[in-house]
Amino acid sequence: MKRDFIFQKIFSLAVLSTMLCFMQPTLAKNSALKAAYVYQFCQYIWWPDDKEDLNIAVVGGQNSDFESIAGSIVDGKKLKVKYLNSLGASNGGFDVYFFFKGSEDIFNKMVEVIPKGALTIADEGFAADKSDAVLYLVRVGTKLKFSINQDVAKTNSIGFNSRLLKVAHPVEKTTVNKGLIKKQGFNNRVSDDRVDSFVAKR
Amino acid sequence: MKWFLPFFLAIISHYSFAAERNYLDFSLEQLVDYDIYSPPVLQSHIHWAGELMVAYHYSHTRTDGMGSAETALSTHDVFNDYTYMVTPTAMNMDMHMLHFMYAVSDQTTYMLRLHHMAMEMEHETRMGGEFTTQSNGFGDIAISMNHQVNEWSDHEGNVRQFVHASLLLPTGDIDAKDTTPMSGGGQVQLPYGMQLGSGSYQARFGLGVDKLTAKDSFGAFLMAKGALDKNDAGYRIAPEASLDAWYQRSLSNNFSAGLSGSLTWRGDISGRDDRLNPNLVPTADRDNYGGQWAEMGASVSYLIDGTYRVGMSASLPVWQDLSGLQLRKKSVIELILELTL
Repeated sequence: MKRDFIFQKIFSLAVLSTMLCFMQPTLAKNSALKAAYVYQFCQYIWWPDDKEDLNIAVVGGQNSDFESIAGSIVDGKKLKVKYLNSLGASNGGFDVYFFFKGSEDIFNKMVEVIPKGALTIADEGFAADKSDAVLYLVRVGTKLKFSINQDVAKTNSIGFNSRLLKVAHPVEKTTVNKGLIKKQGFNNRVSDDRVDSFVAKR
Repeated sequence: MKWFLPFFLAIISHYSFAAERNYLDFSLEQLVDYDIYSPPVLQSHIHWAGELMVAYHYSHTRTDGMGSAETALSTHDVFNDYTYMVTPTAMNMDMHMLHFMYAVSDQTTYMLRLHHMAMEMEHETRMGGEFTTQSNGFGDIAISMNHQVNEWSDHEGNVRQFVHASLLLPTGDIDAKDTTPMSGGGQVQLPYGMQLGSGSYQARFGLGVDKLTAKDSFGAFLMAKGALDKNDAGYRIAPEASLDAWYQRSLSNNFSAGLSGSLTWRGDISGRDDRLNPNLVPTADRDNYGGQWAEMGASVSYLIDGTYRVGMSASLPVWQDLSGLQLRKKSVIELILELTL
């Protein structure tokens, strides 16, 4: 019985140790999926001005979340990824902003520095007003899908390939956040008609 | 304890492969159709970091009629061919299971399982009398881990490899008693199969693989379980190994249906409980435990708001090869309610 007792203790410890070893987080599955979405979005977005590279700000995530797309080339543009976890003076110079769930406070404050023409993407379950983001991820049943906020997109002069529009999850028309329009779209250089014609052509 | 070594080594070797996947190969259409919800087998549930899932499962298992090897036997056959004074004729087991799952990372989900069992066994005596024994209470608590060791994608979807490890604590009663016509009004020790726990620490290891595509998921899971020591009553419950396979098809964004199959092997009880008289009833004889079973099942599942899942499954044995003389399994019905936060 004593031998059994010792063996049982040692083996129980071994099983628990094995479990603890696996506690170290490795590659983030959900982040990789979301990074893939950003990669796809970059392919099917029409930007209001020519860009050599696409600078992507990842807000509120971990510093390896979007590694899978960093350095990728999309339409001749290199994707450059930077991770932001606080407000700073340099937060305003990006072409794409991805806001992870939990970064709502930063999002609300960064509205002030997000440049006109930038693509903003909100994570699924993001608690801030969704009408602030051009694109946002949503869980629909067992799937992770995305929806487009056409109003904010137009005020930002961002156009979409028809394939993106076709695949997007339909959403009821939302009330546009006036603050963001003021910041991003008030001096809109591209008319709604031009955006619509771009969409039609693609 | 040699049985667990291959599984342990397999886990280590699997872990040596870095998790690698490439969702960038997905088209936009594949991304939006990719199923992010876990398949119906709990041992393969690997949630997203920070997710908490509470699951309640209820199962009803019915065994009916005796059998030996692959042959069904009537009560008359049992009394003619064996010397037992009493034979069981049927058994019902109701189990209420509460699972708490928490994902510490996108690869690792921990699980705590509590379960309550209520068992009822019907008997017939050689003289033609009938009686029923009952036991109920909480069973052994399980602390488990599901870990995804590898994932890769092809043009159809994602393939995942995962491992499962559990430590079962001996919290269930092994001293359950009830009265019988032969006990003179007093309570007597119930046989091995009517006990609520194993009385021993148990380890369980599993390896699995599944594939998730836009519309369906399928996979297989190999598991082995065994007691680490003899319990205070002087026996060690039988080791067990099983192979489960499943296929599930999404019929809409929320509704899915599936088919499953399992092959189970159970070994012998080692040691014996001296409180039992093995000549009285087959269930008190340790030689009448173990065997091999094959089962087929079907399930339906409905997801509400991506948060609640309700489901139901039923399975039937298609082949049974029993060691000694035992009750034959008839059916298992399971109801599932899951809440993911």
